[in-house]
Amino acid sequence: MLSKQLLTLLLLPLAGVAHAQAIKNEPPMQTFTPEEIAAIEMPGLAFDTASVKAKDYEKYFYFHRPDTSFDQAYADVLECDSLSSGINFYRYADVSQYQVYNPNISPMAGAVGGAIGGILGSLIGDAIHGSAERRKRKRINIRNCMYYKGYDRYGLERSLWKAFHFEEGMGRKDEEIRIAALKQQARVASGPKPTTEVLVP
Amino acid sequence: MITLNAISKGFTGLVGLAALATMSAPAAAQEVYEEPIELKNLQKGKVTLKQDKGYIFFDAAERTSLLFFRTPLEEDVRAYEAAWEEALVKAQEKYERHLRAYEAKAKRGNRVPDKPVEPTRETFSISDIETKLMVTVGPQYVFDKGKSADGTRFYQYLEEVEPGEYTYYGAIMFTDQGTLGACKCMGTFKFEVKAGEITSLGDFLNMSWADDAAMRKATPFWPDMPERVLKPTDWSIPESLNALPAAQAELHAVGKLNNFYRVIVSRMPEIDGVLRYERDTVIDVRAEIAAAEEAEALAKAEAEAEAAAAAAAAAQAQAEAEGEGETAAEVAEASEVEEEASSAPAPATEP
Repeated sequence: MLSKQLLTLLLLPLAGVAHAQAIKNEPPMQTFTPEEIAAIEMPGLAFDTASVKAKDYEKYFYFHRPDTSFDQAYADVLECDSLSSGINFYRYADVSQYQVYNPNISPMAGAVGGAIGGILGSLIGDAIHGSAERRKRKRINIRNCMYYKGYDRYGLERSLWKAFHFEEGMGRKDEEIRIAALKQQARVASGPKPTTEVLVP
Repeated sequence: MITLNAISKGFTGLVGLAALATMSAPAAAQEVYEEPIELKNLQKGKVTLKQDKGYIFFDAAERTSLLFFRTPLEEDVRAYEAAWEEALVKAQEKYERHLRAYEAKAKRGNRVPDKPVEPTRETFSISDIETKLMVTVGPQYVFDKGKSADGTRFYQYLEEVEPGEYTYYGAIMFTDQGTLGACKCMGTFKFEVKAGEITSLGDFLNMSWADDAAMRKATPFWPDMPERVLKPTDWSIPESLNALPAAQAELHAVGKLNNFYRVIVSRMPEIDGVLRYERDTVIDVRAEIAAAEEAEALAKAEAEAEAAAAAAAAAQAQAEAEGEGETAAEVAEASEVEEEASSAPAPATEP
């Protein structure tokens, strides 16, 4: 006969089953100290909304989600940027089924902004696509990705947007510039709730 | 009618990508076996369905191009690793040549190009293994096409593949103008294709089963979608395919995937009993149900164990009560003996 204590022990693993049902394959989240976060300049977001046409918000926008830490926001921004750029980001949830080391599944792939091979591989696919189309795709991808993550979208005036965003067509910005901008985006995404109107996703 | 704008925003199910661009050979090298089957060739006896191959069948409302990748087997991974090693050696040799050329130019003081970057084991990679195992179905070589009784057009596809597990990657087409379509990079499904069997996706990928609530979770652009007529999935296959047994694809959730072809990023609507989302986290509903059943079974076992323990305790208490009864009888018996003894004449004492 099973004792109550034994049954309790048997039930313990179920606490972890809830996690097992979530298919998680993102690389480990980077953590930042309060000093490191404070050192990231908060960009200006105040502008006269009357001076901006609504259609400009199709291009110039940023994201915010209440009750979100900077670490989480940065992980989300980095993931969406990588996915939108065609950069290898995910470790495979079922990597164990592949059984062996896969050089493309480096845990560092996302942490450092993506492995080079990921860029090359995707460039083969659509090298002849125009730069404008690439930029448009990336905007849509960022919107899709951040929408899935539950972030709200807010419009911004162009010059303010350019201060902490970058656009990429056929090329890729310097990694330091990219990371600095992504950190600022995460700072905004995890910062005070914007006072302007939430846009459609 | 799906618009170009709609497609660019990625909420195509498997709609007519083919109408938009001239087809070209897939940019990704195809290293996995696949063969489209056409009804006309089947009827003429030019092709036959094989017992050692698997078949993926689906029914589309328009011409389309769908990508699936087979889950890598151990031999696929070994081959991939070997290709990776070989490519790294070549890249390093190329780097040496470029470095020498760079140093020579630098020495001459000519216009010096950027210094080449050495490929290392940490930074070098080739395209993902999944791209080597992609199966592209359509838009050409339809199995059959025509008009249904209700006047709607249909395009059926039947692809002969190696048996195995296949993941739906998205409606994507390689064209002369580039790669079009959308990947289901943030949530999709996989299914098993068995040898000697037709695995049917029916018209599931038309997404007509997904209501507004499901579509809202699948795309932020759902309000822009054209009007949709909801209907359950028809998993049936044409009678002309009766030569082999057929089975509805058993769908299982798949987590996020890299955007191999730099296309629009999207995800499947939630699928009852298979796939749901908590924000962007993909939840395997089958595992969730299995865990709930396991928890229920354990709870039942616990309740039974507790009931059994309670019954045992009650039995023991009763036994003890009965045991105490015997002692009382014994006490009573002993008391009687004492009484008899006390009433007997006292033994003579010694003087």
